Amino acid sequence: MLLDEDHMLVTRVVSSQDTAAFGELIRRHQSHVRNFLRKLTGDMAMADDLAQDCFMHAWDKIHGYTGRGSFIGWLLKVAYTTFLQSKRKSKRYAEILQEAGHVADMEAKVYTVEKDEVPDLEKFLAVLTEEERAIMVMSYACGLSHREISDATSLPVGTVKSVIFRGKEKIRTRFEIEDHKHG
Amino acid sequence: MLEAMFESEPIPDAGFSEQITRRIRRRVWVRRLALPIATVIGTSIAAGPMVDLAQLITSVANVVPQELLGSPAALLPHMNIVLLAGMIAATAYVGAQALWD
Repeated sequence: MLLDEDHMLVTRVVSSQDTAAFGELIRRHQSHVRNFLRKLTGDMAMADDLAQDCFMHAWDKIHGYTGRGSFIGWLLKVAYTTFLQSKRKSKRYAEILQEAGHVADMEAKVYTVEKDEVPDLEKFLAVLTEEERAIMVMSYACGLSHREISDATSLPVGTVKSVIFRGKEKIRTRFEIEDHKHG
Repeated sequence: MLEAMFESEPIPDAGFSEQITRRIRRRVWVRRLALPIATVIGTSIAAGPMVDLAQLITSVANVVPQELLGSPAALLPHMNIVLLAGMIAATAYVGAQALWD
């Protein structure tokens, strides 16, 4: 039912550039997109900026949404691409600063968290690579199917499954080791 | 267990969607206005050279023997107006098509 409503709203946006319909789509999905980006970046302000960019890109590219798969799946693909583009830009900026002789303190933000000061989930996410984090969040926090994650990340379904498996193993192994250390 | 761990509170909209919608509406207006404004400015800049070109073509046409042109002599003095109208019509057609897209 919700999917049908999404498709109807998308049709209105594509056929008549209906900004009110697009506003409704944002209202429906902003929480998922912002949560996804917050978990991916570990920075609320940056995540919200990226979410704004993501919706602007979504507006520009919405005619490319074919209706195959859920709209939120497509939206998270746009969000993930926006995140990767922003990361590439900040990396390039850091390189330019470095070439110009500045101290490279503009390095792309590395997801690090102080133990004991953050919720468990952030500790978990900190041990994952960026790709693993994105896929795990899409799967467990956003409830996307393996097929939808495959579409969003442009990875084969088999790879998505193995990344999820690897991510789970990593968390399990890492935190069992930590438990022993502290225990 | 992981699902529970990954669960998070829904983030309230708190004007977020309205902010983006406003940005989009602004962008749509800028895009709508950009082409007509550019067309008007472009036409006003190009009008002078287009008239000069039409006059040049007319003068060349007057020099060329009429048998070669195969057109009625009466039309030649108005050739510049015909050419100018044709160019404006072509520009308007291209502009209208771009607007339609």
